[in-house]
Amino acid sequence: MSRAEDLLASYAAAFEAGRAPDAQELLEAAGPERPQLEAALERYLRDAPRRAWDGAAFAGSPAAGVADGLDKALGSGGGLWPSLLPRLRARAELRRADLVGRLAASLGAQSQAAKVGAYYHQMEHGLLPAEGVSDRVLGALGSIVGESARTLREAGSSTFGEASGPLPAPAAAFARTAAPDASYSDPAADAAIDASREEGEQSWDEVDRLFRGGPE
Amino acid sequence: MEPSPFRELSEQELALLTDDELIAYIRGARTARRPSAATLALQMLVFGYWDTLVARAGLKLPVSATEDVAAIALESAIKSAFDGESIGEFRSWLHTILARKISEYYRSREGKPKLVPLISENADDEQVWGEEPSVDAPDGTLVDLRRAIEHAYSELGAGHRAVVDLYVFAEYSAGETTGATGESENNVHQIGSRFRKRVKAILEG
Repeated sequence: MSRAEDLLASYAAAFEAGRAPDAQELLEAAGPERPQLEAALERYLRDAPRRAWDGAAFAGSPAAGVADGLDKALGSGGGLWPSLLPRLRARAELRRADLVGRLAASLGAQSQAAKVGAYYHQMEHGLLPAEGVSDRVLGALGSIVGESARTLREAGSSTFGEASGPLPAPAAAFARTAAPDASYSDPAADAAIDASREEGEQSWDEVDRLFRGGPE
Repeated sequence: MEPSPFRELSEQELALLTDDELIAYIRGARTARRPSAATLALQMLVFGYWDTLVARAGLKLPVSATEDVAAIALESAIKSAFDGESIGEFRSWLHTILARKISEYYRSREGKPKLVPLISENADDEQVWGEEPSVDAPDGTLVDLRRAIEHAYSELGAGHRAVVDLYVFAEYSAGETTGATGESENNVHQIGSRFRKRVKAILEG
């Protein structure tokens, strides 16, 4: 058995036992056989079957957070935003309040930070249709979290097929409060948004237009 | 004929389903407006591939980026499955998406290390990508290179982009790229070679 084959076997045994072997360590150990080992690890992982369900292991895994985000996304009308936006914010190591402050400043809407925050809250919960959000908002948001506006637009645009769309009203109402975040939401800002929704476009201010007026 | 009514399955029953069956089940639950029934099936799909994706990403990316890229790949693959795209076998599609996301990770960063030597050496176009990471290239060099790559990449159609993603950026072998894209190995070599030449031409003005 070659060195690479030997290391692959030890990697596979550890991986299949549910451990997370350090591939980089093994690659270092492979010496001149590193390219062969890397290719073999690629093939092994690519062909690995779906891991058998283990509810206890899942509960303690980062996969739980991803599944939760996707579950929210599937139940919303906001595409992947409920999954993607909180993760990007976490990656940027920003509290929501800090992100909202920077977003409001980027949009020249510092005096309406609460309203910007309420809209952003809706984006994270999939309650704001992506087609209404302007490129300017997505560009500013993308700059803050380190992602392109195009990626944000594409992520938000999915409807997850014809059977999707927003949840029925009670579930959507639950989604709005399912992850209460003291830093947002602001009841007054929510009320202002709700009022402008009822009163129609003529009552919109610049922040409403930025978040609901379409891409341009 | 009326479609069969949705029937919620137990944990044991769900665990026996294939990927495609799980996806169909989630779709059925959503059609029936019973999203809570889809949650466990979705969790099984995510859990089932999470470790594999993170491990595979770890072969190409710094540890700090592996979970992020794995999550993005999962989200994109599941989004495709529900948006009606033709994805074939879910596992293969998932790994193709992962490779694309790995390549996007590098393309989105100016200090794309493995590409730096392109400007300084090797007219032989299979070698121009070089080996050595570099973070201290002359001012503007990396920016120029990045722009050249983006320019050349923007000229490609979707099929050729997939080849470049895998063969050039994610460093798949030609055979692996063939398996993932359906292009012949000869085409994979040619597309990769043409892309490199085009980047070089743009850089040389």
